[in-house]
Amino acid sequence: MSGFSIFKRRKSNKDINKIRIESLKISEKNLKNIFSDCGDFETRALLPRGKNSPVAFAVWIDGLVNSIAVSEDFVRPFTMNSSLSLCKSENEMLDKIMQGQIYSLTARRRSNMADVVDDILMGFVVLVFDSLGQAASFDIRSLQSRAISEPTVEKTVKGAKGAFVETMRINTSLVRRHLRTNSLKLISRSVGRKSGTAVALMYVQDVAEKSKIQEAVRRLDSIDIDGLISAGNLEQYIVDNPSSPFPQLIHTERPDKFAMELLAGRIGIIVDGLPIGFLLPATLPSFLKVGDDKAGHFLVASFLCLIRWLSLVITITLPALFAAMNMYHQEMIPSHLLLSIIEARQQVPFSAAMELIGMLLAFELLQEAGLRLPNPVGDTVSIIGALIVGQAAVEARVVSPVTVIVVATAGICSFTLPSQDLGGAVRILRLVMVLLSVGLGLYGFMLGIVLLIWHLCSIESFGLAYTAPLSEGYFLKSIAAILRPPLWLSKRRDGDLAGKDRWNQK
Amino acid sequence: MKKYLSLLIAASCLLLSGCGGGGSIYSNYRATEHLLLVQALGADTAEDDGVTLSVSCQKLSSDNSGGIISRSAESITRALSSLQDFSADRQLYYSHAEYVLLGEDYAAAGTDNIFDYIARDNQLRLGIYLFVVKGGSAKELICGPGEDSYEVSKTLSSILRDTRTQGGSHVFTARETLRSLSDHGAALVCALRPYTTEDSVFLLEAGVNPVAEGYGILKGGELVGFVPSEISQAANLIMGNMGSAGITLSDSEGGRLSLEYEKGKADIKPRWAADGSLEGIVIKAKLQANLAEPDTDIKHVTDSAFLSQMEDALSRDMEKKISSLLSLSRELDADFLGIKAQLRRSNGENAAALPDSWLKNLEFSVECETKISYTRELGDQMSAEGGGE
Repeated sequence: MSGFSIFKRRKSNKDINKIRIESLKISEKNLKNIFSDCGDFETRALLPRGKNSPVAFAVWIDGLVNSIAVSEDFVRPFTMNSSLSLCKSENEMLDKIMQGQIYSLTARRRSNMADVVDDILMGFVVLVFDSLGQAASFDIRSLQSRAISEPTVEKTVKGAKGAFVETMRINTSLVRRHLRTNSLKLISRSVGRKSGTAVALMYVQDVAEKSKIQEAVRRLDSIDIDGLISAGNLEQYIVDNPSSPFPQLIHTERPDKFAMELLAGRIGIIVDGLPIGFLLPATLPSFLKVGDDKAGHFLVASFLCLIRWLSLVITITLPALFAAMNMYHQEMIPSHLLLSIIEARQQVPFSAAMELIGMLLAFELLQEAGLRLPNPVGDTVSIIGALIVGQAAVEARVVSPVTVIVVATAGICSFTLPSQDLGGAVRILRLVMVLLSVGLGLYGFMLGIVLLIWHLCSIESFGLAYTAPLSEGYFLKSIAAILRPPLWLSKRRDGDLAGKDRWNQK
Repeated sequence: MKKYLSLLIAASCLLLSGCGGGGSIYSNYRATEHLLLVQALGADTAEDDGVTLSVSCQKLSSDNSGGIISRSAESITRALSSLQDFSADRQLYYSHAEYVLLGEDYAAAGTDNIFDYIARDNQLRLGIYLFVVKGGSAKELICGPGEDSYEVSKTLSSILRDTRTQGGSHVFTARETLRSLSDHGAALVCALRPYTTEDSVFLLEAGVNPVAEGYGILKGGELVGFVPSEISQAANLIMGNMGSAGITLSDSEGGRLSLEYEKGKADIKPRWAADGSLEGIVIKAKLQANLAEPDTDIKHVTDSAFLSQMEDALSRDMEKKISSLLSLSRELDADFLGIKAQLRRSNGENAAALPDSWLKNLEFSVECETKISYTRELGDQMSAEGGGE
């Protein structure tokens, strides 16, 4: 895996705790030891009807299970069911329980202590048979989770208004509602030694390429960390170029967009605890498309796509170009504009370079401040900072109005980018380009562009070039990637993404 | 390893940035706030065969800097350097200079120096517009009445705009002039005449203002004569820049007809003798003019015989102008109309064999055909549009 070539990895060592647990016999006493000092760990001895001594122990973690369901569907049938009392052995009792004497859709028979511990931590109620050294796990998890709400970032007009939540199973069900086909496959994994986070890898069989699926599974399995809590824990461990600031995993909070991308041939990853879905492989054009593009007319959507591409170019190049032309190549600026700039820069105490870099940094500070503060205050601070402080700075001749316009235009263009991750990368790039232009003029600017293109062309995402299909040399394919062609003309899936099944319509 | 090698190669490209030759990577750096934009540059002959350079800069409203400066020195370079001494904290910046004015005396002595300087300088561009001052000096026009508010560039840009739309003298760039000198040995340059007004005339300041008047003729880089403004239309026609110049004709009953040329085309057809020598040239011109203002009995305008008479008059008028122009070209032995290039296109071999004095002995005839349009009666027009009560 090329992404890991930059870092030296030490040999993976299995969790010592897990090794210790695996060797233990399944018993209530051992479980108490394992969960010692866990105040939410509960056990209860259960007596089947007609028996004189406890046969089994129920263990669970308070808060993870649905108390009412446990009482009604687990404890009551176990203690009140007469057929269990007729069982001659505990083994027979366990067999009957697995066949439905306890009312739970999901029942698993366990003979390994590590599996029992995992089930308890997942919110299952486990029935432990000490004498057998076996257990049965029942999925009676608490249904407490955040209600499905509207997306916070990916606003939509015509699309579905539901967004992913923190519960993985709800998220996968949301995707299933969009793709009601048995071809929608789901591979489950658990990532994180201490967190045991459930991860679901989803794809549409024959639509997604098999080699990419296998590679994605392999990379997931190779993640050996303490906990998969934040998105970065996943992204930065499975991408090809983790040192690149450019995002290499698409993420979305919309199940409809998630489903659309699965149909295009991408592979999706849903992580328990994160209200987003990840999609791979990712290319640069995919970060400039939004779900609503397909909802509108192709001409309107194409126009908006062009606007986004233009914004991307402007936000990266405008400040740098301004710096180069203002400092070294004044002959490129029209006479009237140059005169305006000269007039505007009279009595400004800072050099053109300091002024531009200072304004860019001030813009970033305002943006960060707006994000960190609570909503009502944040909005006010942003407005105050932008309008009043900016206005005061211009009137006090600390900065020139032209520089403010250039920085503001570049900033506004960066806000039109649909992907926040791409916007973050662009912010760094902008500053680097300005530094190159300030130092070396237009030569520095072109050097920056060349290096940027070189870097973009060197990134891959699961075997797909990051700049695909622009760098492949097919004109129509490149146009289709930049614009939004009519849906009735897009009969074939993208060959770079799709597997065997290439046709998406008649 | 490959990555580091590529970075090293990219860094080594710094050597191509010219920082070695200039002594610093900041050799191109200019503080914008310290620039004074020169808009017009004038050159005149100074005492001791030197040159007097005058510049007109865009004024800054904030600190009142800018304006007009004039300095003399033995060479253009020294004069420019002397101009720079004008302001310690301002740098004269020539990249936005749009106009170069050549005094009549200076142009008569030879323009090679100024063209050479413009071509070699890294700020001045060959796209700069060229004027020659007829009966005056460039300094006179650049400096004007000496008022702070005077900017010759405003008047020059107005002249440029007017010549593009209304015909009259076409303004050529230094590049076009050099190309013409190189191809034909002669070139036309828009001539300006200083026009003195006692009071302000609309947007013209009181004092000396430039007015376009015909063309100056450069032969071999020296000013040898002028094309009067009366026959400059003929030059425009032959060069293909007719514009919409106006003309007034009188009819037999004392009325006047004002017309505007809409378009015109002139073809130069050589007449080759059997032995390959040039017998002469025939210039066939076709003109179209629109009636602008009939200050005569309107019934005449719709009369076909009358119109025909007017068209003939127009044609004769243009034929006369073309003949005068060609006579001037022949007299000065300056092929500023590019006739030889036309001959070359017709028969390259014969044209190459022409003697040096081919122009002095050139026989020519001119045939002109004119069509007048927009000759409806106003009453008919109003009826057709349904106007009036």
